[in-house]
Amino acid sequence: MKIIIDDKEYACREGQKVLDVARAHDVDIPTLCFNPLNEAMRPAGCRLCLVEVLDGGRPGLQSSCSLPVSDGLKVSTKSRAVYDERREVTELLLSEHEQDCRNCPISGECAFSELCRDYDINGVSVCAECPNRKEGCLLSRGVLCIGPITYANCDAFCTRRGYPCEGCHSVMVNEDLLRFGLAAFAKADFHKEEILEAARIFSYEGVKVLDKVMKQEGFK
Amino acid sequence: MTLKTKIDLDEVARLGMSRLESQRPQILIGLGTCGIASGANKLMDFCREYTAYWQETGIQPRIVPVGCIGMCHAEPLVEVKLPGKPRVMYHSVDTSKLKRIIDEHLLKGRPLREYALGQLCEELSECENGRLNYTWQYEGIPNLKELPFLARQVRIVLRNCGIIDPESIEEYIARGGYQSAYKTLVDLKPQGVIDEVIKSGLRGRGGAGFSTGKKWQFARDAAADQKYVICNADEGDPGAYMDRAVLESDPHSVIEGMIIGAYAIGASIGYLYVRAEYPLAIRRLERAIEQAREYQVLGDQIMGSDFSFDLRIMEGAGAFVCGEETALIASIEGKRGEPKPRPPFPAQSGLFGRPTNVNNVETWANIPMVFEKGGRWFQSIGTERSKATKVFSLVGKIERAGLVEIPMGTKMKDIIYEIGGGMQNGRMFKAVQTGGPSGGCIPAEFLDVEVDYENLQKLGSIVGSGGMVAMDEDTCMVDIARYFLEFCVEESCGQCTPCRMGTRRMMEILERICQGGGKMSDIDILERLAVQIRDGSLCALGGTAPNPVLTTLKYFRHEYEQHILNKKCPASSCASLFLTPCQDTCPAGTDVPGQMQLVAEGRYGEAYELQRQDNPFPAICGRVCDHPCEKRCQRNQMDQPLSVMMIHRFCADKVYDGKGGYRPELSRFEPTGKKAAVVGGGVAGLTAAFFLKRLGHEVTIFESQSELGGMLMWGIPPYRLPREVLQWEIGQIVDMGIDVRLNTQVGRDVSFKELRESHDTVFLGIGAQNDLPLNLRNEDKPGILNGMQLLRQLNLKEKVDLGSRILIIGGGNVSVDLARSVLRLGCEKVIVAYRREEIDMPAYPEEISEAKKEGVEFYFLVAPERIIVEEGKATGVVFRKMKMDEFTKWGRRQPVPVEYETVTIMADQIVTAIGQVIDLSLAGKKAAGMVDHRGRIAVDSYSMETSLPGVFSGGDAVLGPATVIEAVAHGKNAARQMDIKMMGEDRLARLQRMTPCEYSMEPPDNERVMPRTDMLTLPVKERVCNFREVVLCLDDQCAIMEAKRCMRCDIREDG
Repeated sequence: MKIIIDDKEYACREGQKVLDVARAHDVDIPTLCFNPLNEAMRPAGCRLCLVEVLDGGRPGLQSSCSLPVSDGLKVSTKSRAVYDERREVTELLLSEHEQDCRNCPISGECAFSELCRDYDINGVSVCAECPNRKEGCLLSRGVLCIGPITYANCDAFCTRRGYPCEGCHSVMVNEDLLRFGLAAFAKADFHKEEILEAARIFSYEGVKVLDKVMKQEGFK
Repeated sequence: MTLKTKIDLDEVARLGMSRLESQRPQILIGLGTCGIASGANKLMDFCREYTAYWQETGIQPRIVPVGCIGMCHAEPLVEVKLPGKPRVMYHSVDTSKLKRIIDEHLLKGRPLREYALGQLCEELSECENGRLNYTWQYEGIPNLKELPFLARQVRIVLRNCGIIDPESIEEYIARGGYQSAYKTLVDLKPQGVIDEVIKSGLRGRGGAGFSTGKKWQFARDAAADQKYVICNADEGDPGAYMDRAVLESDPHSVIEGMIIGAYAIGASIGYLYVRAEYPLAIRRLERAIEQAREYQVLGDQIMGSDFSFDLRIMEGAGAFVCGEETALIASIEGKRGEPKPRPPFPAQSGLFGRPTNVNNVETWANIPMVFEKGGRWFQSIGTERSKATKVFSLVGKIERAGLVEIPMGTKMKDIIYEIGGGMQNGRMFKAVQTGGPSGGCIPAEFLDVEVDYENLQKLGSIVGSGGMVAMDEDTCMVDIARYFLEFCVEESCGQCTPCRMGTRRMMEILERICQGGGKMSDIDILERLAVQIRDGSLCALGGTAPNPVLTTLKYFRHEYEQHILNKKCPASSCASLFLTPCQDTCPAGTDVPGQMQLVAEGRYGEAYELQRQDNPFPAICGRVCDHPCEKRCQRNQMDQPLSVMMIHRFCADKVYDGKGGYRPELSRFEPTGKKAAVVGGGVAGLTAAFFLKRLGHEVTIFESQSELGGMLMWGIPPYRLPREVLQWEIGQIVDMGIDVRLNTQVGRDVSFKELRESHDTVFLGIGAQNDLPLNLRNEDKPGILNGMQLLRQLNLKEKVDLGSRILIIGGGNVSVDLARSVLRLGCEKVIVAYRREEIDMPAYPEEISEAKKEGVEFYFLVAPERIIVEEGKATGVVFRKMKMDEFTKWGRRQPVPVEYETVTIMADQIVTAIGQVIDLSLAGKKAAGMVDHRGRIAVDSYSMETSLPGVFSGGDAVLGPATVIEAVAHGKNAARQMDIKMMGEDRLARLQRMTPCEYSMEPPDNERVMPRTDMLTLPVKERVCNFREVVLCLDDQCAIMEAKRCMRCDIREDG
């Protein structure tokens, strides 16, 4: 039996799901609720593994982890509809995310921040990609690193190598995100002006918002 | 006893029939949940008590509980049946009524006509057996079948509802029950059963409308040692209760349907999944299953065949998502009620991994009738693709709420207006919401849609389980969308991301809009989210949850925009966007409660000035306003609305007489040095000038006539608006320092270009004064006058020779004003002819009734067809008689001509007054670009600006002939926008807050019923020969009493 994923044919067995075939052949389909250790548990809840059925099944978006293979089934993992839906799902997940990346145990190996990068969602800070755990964090060691208030997507290039973040991906312009980020500076002993000066190197709009948020928060 | 043969069945049927047609008198009480909720249990107890000791008299009435016939608006329902005579149904019964009914009807055989709804002398349903038809009938009691609520219904599912005792299997069998099950078990092979169902075209009644026969086929084709059938009675839509009614009133029909289905599929066990909130339905089902087992209709080798089948009841905990079949199956299995991805479909792997068939209550209840009368008969009802009938629960602000079973393809307007009787209190219909939280709102313009699965889907809604919520003009569509979305947020199982989080985000946005914090970009976000949730969700709950938002965005986008741009809720429903309904409804935003309080405190001058903050014409609006505020008065829910207009008039008259007491100075800004021109000295123009002057600008009014006032001066006769009052109030505006140029026509005396160059902004308030023509031949002959023109001549006190018999064509305020004016000039006979009925007349009802008292004759339902000309002069009009046809989608009946029937009315003078259009000669050719297709000036509805920058317009020139208060609102809004344009900020609100008026904010203690003070008028004899003002002013005592009736909705607990 053969199915077609993104115009390529793949051999498969009866009883397999589209996601299994894709994984076996290294076709990238993101998932968050699928647990490879427990194959039987497939709640199909995260809706990130959606693919678009083009031929050979009920047309439209369907979750690949629960879609059984059938001969001649043709799906796309890269269509516009799939991209839009996955982006929306990621954005929705982010909308209720704690955003405390610095204290997150998964820091640096975050599947979610990768998703945000893949679907171009500006909403996570450099900390999400930074591998330095609590003890290794430059901020707690007294180095002025503005990673917590800087947009990610650089794979934490500098902090991985032990240099502080200088905010080259620009300081965030979202007030809520800045407020989350500023919490990281609360324990460190930096003056307000020091942080603003570091931020000014690469950012303009973000600094204005940052200034406003600092005032609101009573930051000194 | 076991039912094994046809003979057994017939025997039980005879037993049942002897109960239906008992030799004893019967009292039948509607004991569905709806009946019990309105007190039917009490009636039952009363009956038992009252008749307990009657044995000696020899009359032993049977007291029978029956189900619900569907007329929820008339509950509690009681029927009395004497042997051999039709049942008589009594509505809205209480114990004292019931006592009289028993005494008169049951004992003396005289039905009480005044309480009776109708008599059941003709079978209501499509049943073949046990039909209740009577040749003998009571006189003077309508036939139930002919009541508008029941006349159009075709009862298949509801065939026994309200007719039989739901706890009696014998009565069910007497009405042809279990005959179909017997027939199929004995005569048909399982495949034959499925073929017949496919032939019938029955589709699932739970909402999606999938073919029932095909579904059965899938389950039959799946090979397994054990199969199941399930009845889905997890009815959770707000406003839908047809499943409950069927289970409570006719449980055996569902059981019989399931026996047939199980036989066809090969299932030996069936489950009834009923929500625990339906205790009565569960009790009746348990009783029914027990009885069925006694008769061996359920159990091993049922009805003498070798097919075994039994039923179990599962109580659901009430989660909405358990109505989804995979979630329902999970719930029966004892797992959490969460949907699973399909495929695999339940027909392959369902309950405990075995093939399972799930159908809705209504679908199962249809099955016995398919076999009683055959698939061919079944599919002859309904439309091309949707067969037979659907039960809808018609609820909301409708006159006759209840359960209605109608053939597919019935028009929506027939359901709303003919069956439902239209909206309550004669309000305007706005939308109907079908399909519960998964459905959508259908607006008035689609009311002639034929209701079936496909048509509703095309409109963005669904048939769903059959909820139908009718909404009137007081319903805010944004709030409705928010309400249904809130339901989905709460009921989402939380498994999949789009439904769990997406609906929550959408609800947050909608809440923000309802509270006045919305942005225009929110609408785009809503639309995007809605589509993504619909496409990406796991089950149908998420897939349909955005429907209410999508449909309201599609059909009521302007309401969203009103909430966002104007921070105004057009229905006065979103509480954070307004203070009181009256103030919100007043186009000019008059502070009604404040004025009432000031009057109650005796501070009339301050009350007058408080009103002048928003409206420069209190005395005039106190006389000629159409007072939309009174319709929305909250007092109406207790007794009668407040006489707001009479209080306006009272304050103004006090000030006019110089008895108003202290009068504060109106707030004004320092001069700004900017110049504004106002073209037209009518209501809109004067209002704009009034506000512009207060905002500190230099204002010049250009008026082509010799006096200011526009339509107030030329269009309203002095007996309604005395000239001295008018001139006094206009004088107050002019005295503020406004430059007035009378007899100056823009375009003739001053060029429009010059005007724009010498002023910073220009306001066009040129009105609509040219009469609409009748478009008949000979209209230009002498003997025919234009209404507006004649009214102007009369108000100018020009001498017009009219003769003694006048005919006025038209039903607006102009024609009634004319009629009453010419009557005062000594005309003997005045006739007003209008093509619709009296309630449809656009003229104010008070004016019409006063005109009638004065002796004006009205002819309704006549449309002019031909003008009679004798010797070059028009002497009469031939009218075509009209009749009111069926309802249009606007909820108004449309007049249509009656063939071959005409009326001729001869007159000395004929006047046409069927409407006015704008006169745009002022600006020459340039004006052509500013005018829309209806001949009105086109403006941006928010900024009031025309296509020419800096030129604003409002009033009748924009609206067409409209009311005074609407023109005031336009003038006010235009002044505000002109000020923003000139000064760059919104200063009007600041101006109005500058001199706050202090008054008591104590909640009033006036919750006693107290009718409103009605308008006082001069006696007819004293007024018909002169132009004295007809309506009299209230005296101090009445006015204060009336003002104290105000419930002060502006005082809120949170301050």
